[in-house]
Amino acid sequence: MKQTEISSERNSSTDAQNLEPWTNPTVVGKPLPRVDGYERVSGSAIYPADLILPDMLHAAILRCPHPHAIVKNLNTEAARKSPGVRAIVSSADPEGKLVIPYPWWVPEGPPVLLFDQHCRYQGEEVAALAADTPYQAYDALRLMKVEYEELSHLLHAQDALKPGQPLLHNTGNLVRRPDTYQRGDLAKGFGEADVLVEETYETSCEIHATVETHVAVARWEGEQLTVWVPTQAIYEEQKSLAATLRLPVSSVRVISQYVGGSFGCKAELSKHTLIAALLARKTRRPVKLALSREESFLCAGNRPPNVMCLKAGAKKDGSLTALEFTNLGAVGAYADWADAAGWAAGSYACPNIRTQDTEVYINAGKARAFRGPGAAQSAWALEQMIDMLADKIGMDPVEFRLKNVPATHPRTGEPYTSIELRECLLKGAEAFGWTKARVARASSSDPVKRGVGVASCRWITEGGPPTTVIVTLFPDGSATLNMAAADQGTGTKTIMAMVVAEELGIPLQKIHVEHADTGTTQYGKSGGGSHSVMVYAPAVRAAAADVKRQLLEIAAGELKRPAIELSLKDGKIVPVREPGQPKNLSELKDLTRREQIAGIGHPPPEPKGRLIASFGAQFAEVEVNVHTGEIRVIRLLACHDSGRVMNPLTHESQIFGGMVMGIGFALTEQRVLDDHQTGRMVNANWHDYKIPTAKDVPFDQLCLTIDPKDAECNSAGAKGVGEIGTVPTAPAIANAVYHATGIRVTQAPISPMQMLALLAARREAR
Amino acid sequence: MYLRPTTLDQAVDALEHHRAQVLAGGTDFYPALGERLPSTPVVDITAVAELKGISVHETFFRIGGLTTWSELLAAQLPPCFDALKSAAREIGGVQIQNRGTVAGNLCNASPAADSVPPLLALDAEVELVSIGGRRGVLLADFIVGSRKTLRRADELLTAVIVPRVVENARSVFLKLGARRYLVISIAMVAIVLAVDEQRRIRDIRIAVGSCSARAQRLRELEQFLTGRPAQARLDALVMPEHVKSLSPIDDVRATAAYRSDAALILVRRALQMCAS
Ligand SMILES: Cc1cc2nc3c(=O)[nH]c(=O)nc-3n(C[C@H](O)[C@H](O)[C@H](O)COP(=O)(O)OP(=O)(O)OC[C@H]3O[C@@H](n4cnc5c(N)ncnc54)[C@H](O)[C@@H]3O)c2cc1C
Repeated sequence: MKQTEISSERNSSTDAQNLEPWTNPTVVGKPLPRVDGYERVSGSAIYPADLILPDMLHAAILRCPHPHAIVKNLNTEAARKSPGVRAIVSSADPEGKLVIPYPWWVPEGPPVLLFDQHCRYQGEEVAALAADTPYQAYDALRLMKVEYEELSHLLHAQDALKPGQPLLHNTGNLVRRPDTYQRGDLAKGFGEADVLVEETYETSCEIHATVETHVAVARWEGEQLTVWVPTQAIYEEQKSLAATLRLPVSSVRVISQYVGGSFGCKAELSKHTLIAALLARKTRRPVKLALSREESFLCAGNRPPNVMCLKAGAKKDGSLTALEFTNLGAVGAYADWADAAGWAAGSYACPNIRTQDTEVYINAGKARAFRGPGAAQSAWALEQMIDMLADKIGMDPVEFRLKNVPATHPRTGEPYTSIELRECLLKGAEAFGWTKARVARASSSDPVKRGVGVASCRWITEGGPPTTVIVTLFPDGSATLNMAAADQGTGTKTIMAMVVAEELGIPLQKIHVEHADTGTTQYGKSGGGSHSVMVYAPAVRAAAADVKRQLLEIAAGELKRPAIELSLKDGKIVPVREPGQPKNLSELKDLTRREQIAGIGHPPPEPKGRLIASFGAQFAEVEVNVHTGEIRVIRLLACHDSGRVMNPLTHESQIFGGMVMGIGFALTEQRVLDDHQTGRMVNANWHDYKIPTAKDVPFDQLCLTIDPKDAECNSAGAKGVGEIGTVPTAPAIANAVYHATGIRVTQAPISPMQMLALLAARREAR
Repeated sequence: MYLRPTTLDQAVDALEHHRAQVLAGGTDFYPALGERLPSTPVVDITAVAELKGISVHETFFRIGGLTTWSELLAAQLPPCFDALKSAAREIGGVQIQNRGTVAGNLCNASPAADSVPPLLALDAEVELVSIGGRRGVLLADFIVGSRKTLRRADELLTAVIVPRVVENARSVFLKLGARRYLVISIAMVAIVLAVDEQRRIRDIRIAVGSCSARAQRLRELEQFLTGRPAQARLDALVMPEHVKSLSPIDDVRATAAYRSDAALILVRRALQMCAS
């Protein structure tokens, strides 16, 4: 009884911002299936590609087939006369000179013209048209005559700053001033080291390969533009569209109902969306523009390739003394990030560090944020380097990592709200059977060698304002959740509905979650940086708490009892002293008269002087066939500190999904450009660009968690989990390959061919 | 023009008179077209019942050209077909196996066509029919190069004939790709191995695909192994010179050097599996 009183007191507190994390949640933390699972798997969910509007036209884009060329002449006459064609836009139109703004996280770069006559990547947009059917649109594209002057191309970061190379922009090939970070005294650190290692690592350009390609449907009603796009960031796209089209922000509405995978590549305004809007304006008809698979490989984003030179030193006792990390990354033809080195400065407690990131342009599709951008590449190098050091001093790699777990953020000195990295390593190693697996080695005659490897990871997330969420409760006990977070497939809608259910005590089935829509949902941060739960769970909770406060006030008036003596359970008002006499909401006359109660919530500000980060350790077991170079991942185990696990099913999906991507990054995924002649991408299809299939993923996959009971990070006690799961997988696999074969593979992906060549080189060297 | 005849006579008639292309499961046909439309009339043969099914005759098996990989997998066949079945299981995913046909795989004649090595190892013959009549051609002769066959434009591949010579021989198919499935072979090997009462190799056929413009039998190696005891460590007898007749190329999937190495390893591995 006492306890109920206390909690009802806290619940009726007017200050919804200062909620403590739940102590005994009944909905949050349960493995509940997705609220939109049925819609997604049955096909009844309407993705933008499914949308059919009356009189809708279909658009297609003419793209430059060369990696670097000037459009000398463009003749659209024949295309214009082709059956069904309704409008064409190209560099000949004033709209062709429109400049697409960079997303907020890219500080600056050369102007991105909608149709630039100087084409800097294969697939660059040259013109576009809309026709009655998609087939007519594609047929008409073929009638467009373009005269290109081909320019010599630049494909590799290593060549970008050499004299005599083609210049992509008149500012040169350097994206921004190299970013350098330094702490301590590097020379002194290397001097103190008992062992030193030096190595160069390379990662390949990886494509997001979302199942759903990029799509936009645009419709004008007078001067009002509505755009349906699968996006993580409705407000980012709204702002960019309004700026580009010189419209009031309120004249642009962006709707993101369902997203068929994103991983970062659907978080900014893309040219195709603007093109759909322009063609719709020209024709005064709705226009759909869906990119093909090939287009999405060429120009819808990627994880940029990196060349990373590392030097590191450690003492015999396993403490890191110095780390030098120099990265050269190729962003593609326009500015984004291709950093990697800076991440390493925050990973381990190492007193002497120097990192440098240099980013350059090349003639290829532009990079975009990609699940753990920079961090995944950085980990490929750093986590292997840590293994090399451990190997050199004869220390177990888990123990070596434990030695260097930082107490505070190594770069800023700020403490974390919680950090369970140590426990992740220990619990993970124990469950994996690490010590035993480390010593068991296959007999030397067997061509199949087994090995195990580990890598750890960290991901900083920022929650906090600005974001506004509205929860509406109806007298029948049902509720609507109105928020701008698009569910990119991660389960955001499910988790937020669970928060409402937890707070209001109503069943999940009675909660409807609105789609992200700038026309109906309030401003909210985009889904990115793994922060959806951190931003939205506290906001939704605050909004629900606001509803509850108002509801209990109404009930208090009607039942003539103070609000603190009332609580909300199973959708009913329960007097704390007479729990046997609950009252249905529909019996509250005042509520019925008001028709609904709307509660508003914002995420409270971030805790001051504290950092919020998630941590994890992953363990991999591989089999390497030294005759063919084939590598099989036979076991993966992850142990993560993600704060409170809001829903074990969605949490596990994030980690498993991340690990599957990590397998691809480690073993098969790679954009291949034709170096010798054309400079074009030769595997812009799912046949030759290989993401892991079900059979490439080990059956034996496990995800363990450690809940730090973080009361400081936010009122949900949860940290981010969307990206971190993919960060350590690839280096854990590479470390396992080393353990199996004694060969350090520095270049991702570890194709069977590369593996075999390295094995052969070693045989020759012996 | 799109035609869908229901009898073989109508089908060959249509081919003769319309200079048409044949469409079976379409799993090679449409990807090859990309976004283009077919430039000639199309004869869809999927309604021609005479082209379907597998039958057993006194001296041969007859596999109808329209037999899909899923149908082949479901059929009761002796062990010498195990290699072909393994290949069928690795052709694309289940959806592709439900549509893709034996004739389509052979007529498309990709160097990486998975059914070709197992069928070469079975000494298969293809049956071609036109309004002019019927002829049989050994598969080894039928495919003349990368995507080139002896089929005349007016002919249909109606069946694959497999002689009943090595029915109870063991057979193995191994394929190497960049991932576990849904993958175009970097190299593949099929072996059919029959032994006599003393467990000596009586008849051995070894075929390698994806390592030359068309899949090849390794005749010298076959001769070299014939008569030897089928025992453990048979693989140790296979030397790099035994795969010298292959002429792999560099492409996006693998380098020539890797293909040669892989072919050698696969031959050894397959031999070991057949012999043990
Ligand atoms: C996703 C995917 C994965 C694949 N994976 C593999 C793989 O792993 N291994 C592999 O070997 N193949 C693979 N293929 C290729 C293809 O599925 C097979 O080659 C299949 O057997 C082709 O049969 P089909 O009936 O679909 O042929 P179609 O596409 O209908 O025809 C192929 C060609 O043969 C001709 N043709 C077909 N039937 C006849 C006939 N009876 N007489 C004369 N000419 C004929 C057609 O005119 C055409 O030129 C894959 C294809 C796809 C789309």
